[in-house]
Amino acid sequence: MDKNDLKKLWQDAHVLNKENIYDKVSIQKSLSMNHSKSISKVLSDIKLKILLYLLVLIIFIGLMIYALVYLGLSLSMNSLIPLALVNIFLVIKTTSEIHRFKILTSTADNMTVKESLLFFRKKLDRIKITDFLTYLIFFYLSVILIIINYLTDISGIKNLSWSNEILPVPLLGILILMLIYLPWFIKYQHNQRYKNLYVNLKESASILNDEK
Amino acid sequence: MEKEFIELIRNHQGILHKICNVYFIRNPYKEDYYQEILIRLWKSYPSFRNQSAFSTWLYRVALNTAIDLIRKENLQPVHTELSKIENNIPDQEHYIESEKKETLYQAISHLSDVEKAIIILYLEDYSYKEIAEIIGISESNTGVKINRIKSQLIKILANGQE
Repeated sequence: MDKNDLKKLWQDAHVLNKENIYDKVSIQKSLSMNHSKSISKVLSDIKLKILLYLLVLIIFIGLMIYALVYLGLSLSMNSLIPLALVNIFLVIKTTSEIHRFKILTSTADNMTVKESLLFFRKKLDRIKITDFLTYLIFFYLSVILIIINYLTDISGIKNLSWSNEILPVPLLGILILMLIYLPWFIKYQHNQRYKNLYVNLKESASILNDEK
Repeated sequence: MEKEFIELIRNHQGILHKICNVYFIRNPYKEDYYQEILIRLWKSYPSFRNQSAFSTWLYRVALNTAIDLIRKENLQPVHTELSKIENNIPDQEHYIESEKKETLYQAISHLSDVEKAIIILYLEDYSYKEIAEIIGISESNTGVKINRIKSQLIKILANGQE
């Protein structure tokens, strides 16, 4: 086949323009909508998740304030640390979903295809870094709090470890190793999460950037 | 403005159909994505200032939206409703009118999202200059890309690959 035959083939393929599946979609009705049905469903699912996390977070914080301030309970560090971690976890889940929502709703339709790609990539990179940092802070805080807990022997880990003939030093060693390898682990987890998206973006960028 | 927009879309509907076929031919949500393109065209319409032909602007926004929808499906796949997919099987056959059309769309489906955009514009008889403006690359690079994509397509068509 000659290269010029492609245009002819394309034209021939579109001569018979019978009624098609898209004719079912009403243009007028579409203009009054924010998104199509399936996109709306995806977005409202994310909104629901955000609301749910926020609600649990508010209830959790409310209960903590009620217990600590109103009832005047004095909780030990041992009890406060897990509660604080749950709070941080909920904050991270909420922000992560908000980021997902932001990615899905951001558009750059009026730009050129290349500019639109760069815009999206920049936005995604920023979100990926923020996500990475929040997860890193959360896990570092968790490990640090566990170490503090251990060192002050609040939870009795020391005794428990000795009684089970597990040396506390290896336990500390594992925690320190976790601290060291944490950034790589989170980075790997993030790369897996955004893998498909980046493969697509890299492929498009290489086509658009390659001058020859 | 709404009436004017609807009229313009009706006159250029073929462009949208072709873009949707190229990007979403096997997608069970192609009608929805077509509608999403319409919605985003309407939202972008105030920015259309007659500096270019309406069809050029339409291609730019519709291609960006189609690529964006594909991209975001990688991040958050739309929920698959089995009934919807099953219902679409006869539609697909109805839609693909000729063997030629199917062969061509099959071949194009092997291209990347950006390559698809370039080849649609080429097949629709747009000049290298116009294609370069829509895609955002230089005119000479457009020529190189088109030649490469054409060779690729011909190879696929000759091999009769799926």
